[in-house]
Amino acid sequence: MTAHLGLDATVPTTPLATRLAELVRLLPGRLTDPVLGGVVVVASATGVRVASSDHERGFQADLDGLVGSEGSVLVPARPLAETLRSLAEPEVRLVVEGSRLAVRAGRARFALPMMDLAAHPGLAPSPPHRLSVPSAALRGPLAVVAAAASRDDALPVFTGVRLSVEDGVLALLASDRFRLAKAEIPLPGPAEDAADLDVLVPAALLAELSRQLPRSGEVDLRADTDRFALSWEGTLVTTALLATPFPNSDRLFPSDVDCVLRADADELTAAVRRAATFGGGRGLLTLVAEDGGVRVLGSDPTIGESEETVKADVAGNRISRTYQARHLVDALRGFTGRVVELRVPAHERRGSVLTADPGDDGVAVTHLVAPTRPPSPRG
Amino acid sequence: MAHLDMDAFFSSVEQLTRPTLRESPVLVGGAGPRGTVAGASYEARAYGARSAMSMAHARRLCPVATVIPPRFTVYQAVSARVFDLVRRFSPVAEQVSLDEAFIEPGSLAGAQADEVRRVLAELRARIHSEVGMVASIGAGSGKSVAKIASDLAKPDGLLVVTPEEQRAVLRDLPVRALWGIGPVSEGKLRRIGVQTLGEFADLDPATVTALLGTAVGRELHDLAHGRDPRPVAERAEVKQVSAETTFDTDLVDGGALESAAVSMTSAAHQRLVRSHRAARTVTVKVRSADFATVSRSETVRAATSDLSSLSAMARRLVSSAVPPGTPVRLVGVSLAGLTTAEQESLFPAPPTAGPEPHPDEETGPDEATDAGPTPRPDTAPLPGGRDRGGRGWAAGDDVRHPEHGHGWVQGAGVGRVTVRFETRTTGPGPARTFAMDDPALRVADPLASLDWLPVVGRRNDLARARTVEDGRTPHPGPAAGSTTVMEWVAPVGQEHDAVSS
Repeated sequence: MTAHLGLDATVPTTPLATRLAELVRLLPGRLTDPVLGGVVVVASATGVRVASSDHERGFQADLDGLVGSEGSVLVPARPLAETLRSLAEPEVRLVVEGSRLAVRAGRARFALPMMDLAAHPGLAPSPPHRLSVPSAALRGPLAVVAAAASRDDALPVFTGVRLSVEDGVLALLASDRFRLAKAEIPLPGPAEDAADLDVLVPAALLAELSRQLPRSGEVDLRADTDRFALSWEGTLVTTALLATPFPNSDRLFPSDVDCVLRADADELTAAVRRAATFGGGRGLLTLVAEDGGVRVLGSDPTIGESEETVKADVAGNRISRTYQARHLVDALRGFTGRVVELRVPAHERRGSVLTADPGDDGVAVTHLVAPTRPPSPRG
Repeated sequence: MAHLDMDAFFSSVEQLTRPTLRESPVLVGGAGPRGTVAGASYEARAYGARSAMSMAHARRLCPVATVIPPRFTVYQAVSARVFDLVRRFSPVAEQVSLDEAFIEPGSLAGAQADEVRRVLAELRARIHSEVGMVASIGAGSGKSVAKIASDLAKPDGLLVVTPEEQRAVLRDLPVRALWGIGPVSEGKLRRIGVQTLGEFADLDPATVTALLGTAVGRELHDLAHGRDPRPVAERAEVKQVSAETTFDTDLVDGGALESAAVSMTSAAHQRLVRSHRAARTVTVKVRSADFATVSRSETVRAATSDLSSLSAMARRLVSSAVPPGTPVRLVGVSLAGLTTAEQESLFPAPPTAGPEPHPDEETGPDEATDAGPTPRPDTAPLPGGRDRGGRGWAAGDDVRHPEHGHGWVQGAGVGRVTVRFETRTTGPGPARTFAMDDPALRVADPLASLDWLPVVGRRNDLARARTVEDGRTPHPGPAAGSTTVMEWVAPVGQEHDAVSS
């Protein structure tokens, strides 16, 4: 079917600008093919849809609009998004004029060249619906967990977030080998379709989506054997799955806890941030358990030393461990305004657990942070 | 300030531990067609052989020399003992390399030349009596003068240059005598007719900076005038550890290239572990047959001391450095981005991208160097004939015989091997010939040739004690996990008292 080139629609500016900005953020950074940097604009009886795809990721959003003439066009996404972002008029008209898509707003006209729609990969079909969760319960944990994943493509398995459902709980898990974050979100109702869900989704996409998700309402999780999608309020984002099984992480959590510290997360975060300056190039900090407190130490031969004690309940042995300040700050971010519990294992090479009592929404977040130690010969 | 430099260090250690070689020409270095001389004894130097010369050339100059592959573990052990003694004498010491250090004994601050001469002579005497090594020492107002003085003092000498004598001493030396003037600067100076330090010192400062650059020129000019403000300071932290090897015949096969990179990684890794560091960056250097040199490096976020991770990086890098089938004459691996703290991993080491090295390929590389101001020449060929799997022996190998004790292979060939049974303490020993596959001959720890007894004592990172196969140590060896650190410090000929840990 040859595309009917007569597209003509009038759309409220703000939602269109917002959706296009979100779409642009999900485009690949480096384009192998200029067509992949385009946005497909479709006007139909039901409204206006903007969509993009780069084979891996797909984005589509449906908007209300007054459609004068149906049609589909492909235009460069970034210039269109930039144009919409800077417009003050409440409505814009998108209309095909010859080989251009014109954006008309008030007395202004912006015309973008149309690209070959037939060369665009089009949108992958949406995988089937598996479960729904409140967006408010998913946003925070998704951001915290996705931040723990690695950005180094050398080990693809650590660039993903594992999403799985077990016993009515949606678990998110990610690690860059050196720290691990896990969030458990209780599902509101029975979710038969989700029973065997276990997928590994690129973390970079989820980190971005955690910012795009609405503060209220429901989010649908969709998945099949090779694709995953999140959809909410007329927006659907799909991605290819990472095709590697995530290594078993259950045994990483220590069973031989030697020392338990409970401290105000905000106070500890502030102390860690202050000490990080003194942690040297790699930002190493040492936590020392004492009676009634935890001492945060930073030391670097060229910068100097810092020392600060944060009030804490301490049980067990008086241990001392060194961590990367960055890992601690990232982990503590999930516990703002709460009491954080640090469980240090007896084995000094194994990771320490940071956790807190579940919040009002029942979401439990746990971090595992591996220590740093002086190198020593081994095996 | 004084500069202490061991005379012909490598070859002297060989002569110390293999008494038959004493007072005879010795060349230390790779024996292969592309080997270079790492050390030449004074007897060999008399024939014109020099360090860094190609071994083939040195052998032509000095056909009577004994050629021995370097044994860095032994050199390190000797060096550690010498500088342990030096540090007891002068706590302010800056070790520049295995065989050189600047010292500034507190007792000599402002002392008269005679007093300085007396004290330094005593240090030389003690190094000779306690370790059996000869050190030359130069003293002067600054580092460069001290260094020049020790050069002038060699061999087996002591030279104290007083501030009054300084000008006269420097005046007639060639410009190359100054540390920091290499062939390039020398060439530039010669072009304007400057050959001696005196002529250099007389140049206008503006001319010098125009010729050699502002910073370097000014510094060298000051040094030529004997103005040298640099203090003696313990060397900064190790910046990188590396190992490289030149092959007897070019490698063409990709698999062989990868295993060479892996074995160089494991050599550098030994240094890494010994210096209690972890590394973030692996750099692989590949020199192809046409002498084009390519370096490739990879940096990971978390420093590691895990050999398999480092080897995997080296293997990846070496295979991308040159197109498949390129003849390669040299492979080097350096580990940098060193840290004293290693990020533990939650998960076991990541799956590596490629086959694990075959155990048979773990041939010990012969050279591993710290980066320093005096880089060692590339010496070692891959020990092609030295696969000590009971199949063959090569000259220079340390061996042990249940009856005759510790010895070294003097020669091997046509199914026979001649072993000279001697150590530092035995004096020249007898030579015996065995069948190449005689089961009584076993590989021995080179350190046993020093015949020093391990004593529980101070910790010294340069010479960590090892278990020795010489059968003379009734020491049960530390239990796994114990923290006993041993060091080779017992004096000569002493009855080895059982030292318990």
